Amino acid sequence: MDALVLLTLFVPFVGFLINGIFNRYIGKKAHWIAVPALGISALGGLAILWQVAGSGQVFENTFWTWIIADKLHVPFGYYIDNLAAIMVFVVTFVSFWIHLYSVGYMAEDRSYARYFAYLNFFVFAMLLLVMANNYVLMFVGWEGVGLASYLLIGFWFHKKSASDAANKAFIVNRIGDAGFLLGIFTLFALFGTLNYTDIFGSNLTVNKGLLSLALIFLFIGATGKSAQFPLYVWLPDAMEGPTPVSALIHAATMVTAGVYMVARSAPLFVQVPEAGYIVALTGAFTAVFAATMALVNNDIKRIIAYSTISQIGYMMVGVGLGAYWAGIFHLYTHAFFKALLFLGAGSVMHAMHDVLDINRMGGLKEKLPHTFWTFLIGSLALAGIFPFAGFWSKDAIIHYSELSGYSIIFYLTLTGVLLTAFYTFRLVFRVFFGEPRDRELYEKAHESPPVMLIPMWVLAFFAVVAGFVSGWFQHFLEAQLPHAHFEHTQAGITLPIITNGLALIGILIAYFMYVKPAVPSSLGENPIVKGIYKILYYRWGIISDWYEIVLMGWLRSLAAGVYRFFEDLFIDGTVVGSAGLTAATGNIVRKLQDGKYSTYALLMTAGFILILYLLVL
Amino acid sequence: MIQYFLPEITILAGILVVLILEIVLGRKGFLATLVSLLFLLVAGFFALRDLSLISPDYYKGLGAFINEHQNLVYIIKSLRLGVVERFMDTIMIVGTIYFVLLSYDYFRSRASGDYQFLTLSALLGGMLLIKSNNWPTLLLSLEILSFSLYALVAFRKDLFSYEAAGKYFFLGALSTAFLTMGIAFLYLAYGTIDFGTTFQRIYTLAQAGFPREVIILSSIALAFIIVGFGFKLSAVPFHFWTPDVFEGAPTPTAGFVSTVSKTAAIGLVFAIFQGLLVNYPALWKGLILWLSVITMLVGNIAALRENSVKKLLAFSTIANAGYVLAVVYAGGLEAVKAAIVFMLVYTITTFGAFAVLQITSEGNTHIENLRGLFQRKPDLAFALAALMVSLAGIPPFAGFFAKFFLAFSMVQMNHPLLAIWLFFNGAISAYYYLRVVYYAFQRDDSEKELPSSRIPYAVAVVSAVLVLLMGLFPDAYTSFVDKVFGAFFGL
Amino acid sequence: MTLTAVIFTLFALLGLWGALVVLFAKRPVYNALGLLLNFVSLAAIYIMLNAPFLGVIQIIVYSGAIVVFFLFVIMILNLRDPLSDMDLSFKGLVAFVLMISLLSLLGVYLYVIKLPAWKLGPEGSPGKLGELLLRDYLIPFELASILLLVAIVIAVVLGKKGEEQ
Repeated sequence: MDALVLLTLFVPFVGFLINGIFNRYIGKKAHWIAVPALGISALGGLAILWQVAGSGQVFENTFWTWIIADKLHVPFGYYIDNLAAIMVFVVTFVSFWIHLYSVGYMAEDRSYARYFAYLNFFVFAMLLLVMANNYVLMFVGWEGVGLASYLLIGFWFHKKSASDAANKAFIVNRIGDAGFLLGIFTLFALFGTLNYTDIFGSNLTVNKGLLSLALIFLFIGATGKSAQFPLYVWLPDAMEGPTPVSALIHAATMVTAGVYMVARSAPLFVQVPEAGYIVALTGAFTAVFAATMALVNNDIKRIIAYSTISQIGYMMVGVGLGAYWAGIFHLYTHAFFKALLFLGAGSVMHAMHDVLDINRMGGLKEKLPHTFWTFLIGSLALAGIFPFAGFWSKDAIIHYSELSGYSIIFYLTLTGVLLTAFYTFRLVFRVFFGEPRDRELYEKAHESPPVMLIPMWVLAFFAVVAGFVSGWFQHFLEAQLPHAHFEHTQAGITLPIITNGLALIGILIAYFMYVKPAVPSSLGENPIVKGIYKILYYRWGIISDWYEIVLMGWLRSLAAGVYRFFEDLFIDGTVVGSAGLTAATGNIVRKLQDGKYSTYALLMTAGFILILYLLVL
Repeated sequence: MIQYFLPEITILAGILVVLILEIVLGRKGFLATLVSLLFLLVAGFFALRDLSLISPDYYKGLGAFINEHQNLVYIIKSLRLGVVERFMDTIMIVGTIYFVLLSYDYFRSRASGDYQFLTLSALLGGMLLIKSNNWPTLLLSLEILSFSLYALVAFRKDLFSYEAAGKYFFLGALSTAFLTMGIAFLYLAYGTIDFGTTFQRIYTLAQAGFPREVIILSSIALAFIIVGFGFKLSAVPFHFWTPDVFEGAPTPTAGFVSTVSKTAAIGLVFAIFQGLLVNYPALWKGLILWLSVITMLVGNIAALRENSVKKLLAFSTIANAGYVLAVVYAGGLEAVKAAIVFMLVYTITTFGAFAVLQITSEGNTHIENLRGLFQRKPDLAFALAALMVSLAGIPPFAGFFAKFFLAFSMVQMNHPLLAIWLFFNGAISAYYYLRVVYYAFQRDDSEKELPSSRIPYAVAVVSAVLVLLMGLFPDAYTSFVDKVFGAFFGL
Repeated sequence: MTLTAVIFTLFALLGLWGALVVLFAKRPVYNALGLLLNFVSLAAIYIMLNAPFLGVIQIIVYSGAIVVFFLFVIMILNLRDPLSDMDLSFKGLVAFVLMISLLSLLGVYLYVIKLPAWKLGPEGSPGKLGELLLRDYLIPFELASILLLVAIVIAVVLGKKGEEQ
């Protein structure tokens, strides 16, 4: 196992080193290093999963003791249980296909080798996070992931928006990281150690209040990395990076880290169900909140980004309610179909010369058949339609939220289903159906090369079948993770009918709004049909108009208002320093720094007098 | 007795040797640099040997005694010697070696013996400053350090350099005046200029309760003294000179001011507050706390929109001084260890960064000027990135551990809020450090040539590698610190 | 009021006057002479405080050497023109307020409190002082010589014309 772990973990790192150091000489051949590296790593991940599944035991080993400071001993070692094995598999497997896709997508880029170096580093950091056997090492991976995302989001740094987005992502993540670190400190204060085995194996009946505090801190870390409310703001902007990077961030290597961390701390969360409730509630709220924002957006990548925030919310509901396997199961299915959707979006952008506005697309079904079919599969999975992958995992979560007795979470998750189906298919219909709205772009559109299509089809295949293993998955994870603490009853047939019904309603609304009104001519020969159609057309037109004006307008301003509020509060207001308090302070500080020593002497004396009065009086 | 002061004596001998060589042989820059490096290495060796030999009985041969209350060793009245001081010495010697290497490249044909003389005398001043055991020694060694620094800042002998030195000198003299006044008030309060006697009188008074006049006199004295210390530390509101001096000084000197001189100041503050005044926490605890809290914030916020890289590093120096002041407040053995590790890492990282700036930003310190570094010298750009990321406190670089240990010692001393504040500030600082990296990795289409300077280049790369290695194997040096402390205190 | 108190007040006021002249006189020569007055008054106060040696040194070194040196410099550089007006606008006002607040606080407190009566060291005769400097305070004594050496080197270094420019 040692060799296997080292191989899986360090081969991407070696790839990073080679491409990073020799990037000048390697140039356009970088993928010959990066892609095989990930291939080896993915095979290693598969082998690890195989071994773990076969033996049913936890593999742990320490290579060397990394930090010794007083009582704090931090080893450099791995801890592979069923949960970690699943994660390793998902991360390496999905990343491999994204790497392959990038070969086509980034072919024209000037900094080809640098791109692949970062990509390999990203995967390495994520694997470190997943495989670590203690919280400090996990934190190292956690920061590495943040750093890699910073580099990749800002990859096209000559674009100001890209560098702003990268900074925003990094800083918001740092807020979360500070929470994570405090959580680590609190855990150390409670248990005197930070190794998983020691913590989980020790007497867990410690001070409940402090433990909740530690868990809340950890969760703050998770909200940062997993883009949960209120620290979600960086993720939509992170679209400024290359599209495969978005796929990597959203599907495999970054946003899932928070979910994994909560699941990893499951034995602690079980001690304080209330902390889990906060996690679940935040997740459920985020799921709906982000979905409403996706309803009104016109940017193809941002819509998918909001859907990620929303879906991570579902995962949080799962792990928060103690249904760890369901949360991780959704993480696993989501990885496939979300990577697929992003690669599809990348393919569309590739065809449309980097246009992102869905209002300028339309009718691409014929032009991009492969992209269309795979995108459709991904969308069906995202909407949770039976029997696609998303259905199994999302239904499991909704089922648990029903059982948990927290009806508010249950209703929020159901609302999310309706909204998800609607915005997903709004996207599909606007992009692939109807008349092309920008003829010029449409004429130039072309299907992507095979090196991009193959990964899409592979992922599409998994987006269909990945859900079928739900029984095995539950059994496999619950062998080691805690079970949900409430009574478990077998899922009936009612719930799937309700969720699928809701999803279908969402799809139908989208259909009648965006497809039907736009098909005026085919049946138009028959005068009767023509008459009925006219009525329907205008009726729908009226409804559509009403919807656009009243509902959408209202929702749009609400979403924009909420977004701006948090934007100001968290980003501009207190952190970056581009507005408000910090700018004012910064300006004062700089104004005082006028270069004249009479000013400085005066200020020093003023400071002295102030101190004198404070001390003496 | 001499064997306990070998590092100081070596440096003193070095001062005289480079001066005599200059007088006898005329200007021989290369030789002087070599000689001074030799003396520095020997002094470093002696310091490390001292540390490795240390045991609870180590200083007993002098008839010295370990003070029960502050774990410091008093020797021959004027100087105090202990494990903390030796560690600080070692760090300062490391910083000075960096400085000598970088200056040789900076001045090239103008390198001279008097420059080395000033370098070594600054180091000697710093080394004696942290060991002072009475106020005259403290004042004189402080002035030796400061005078040498003023001259080193002015050494480029152009208008900018003179202006910076002038500001530094004028404000430094002002702060020393305040310090001296404060010492007079302390003398009034405790009737002695010896630290040992002061310490004992405070200890006795602390048992009985301080009389009102002593409280008032001590408070007045503290307000005066903190001006002097705050100036050296560049703590807010005594920090104003820092950006201006950094901007005008030769690049290596800016590095020296921000590391060696800062280490001496930290050692001094530890000696005064966690040593001399440790039994009178009501006097200084609140002041140091607020000073540190405000210093961190002001340094970081001012750096956010700073466009001159040197000034940016100046503000970073200010913020870092705030971090260490926070552990001076927290106290405890762990805090001292954390401060030592922090200063070591900080010295290496900062000097590495200054080495890069020496190549890229001479003559134009604007951050835009870093553009295209990656295209021209990718390895240098990577080194700069590693150093900046380390300063930002991101693992696995050494800077993360340095900050981690600081926060850890605060948590251990039950000051979690301070640790939170530290991390909050760390989050802010990440922004401007990474901004530097950002510009370094931007494309630049102008036909600019970078000077080919081998020494700073090697220094930068070695520092970056060191920072990474020290991050990957922090145990290598923390365990040494632990071991020495353990041996010294017989733990 | 005893005779000592009268003499003390006299010299204290003289010293203060000298300091004010240094600050506010417009001609450099007057500044230097004000400094001289200040130094001499201080020397007198030292002598009254039972430190005759210090007083004599004060006169020899400061009044004799330093001020004379200042005067030489002023004459050589021919600094006859009055110094430009000080910036007495906003900054001057702030400085004045700061000074008042400092003086009032120190004045009030030092007037109210009873100073601690510590038994101080031996009287400041040259013999005792020498003993103290060469035994107990040997290291600061030597440090002073290093400081002077540093100062000399700095003077030489900065005084040399930068031949490379």
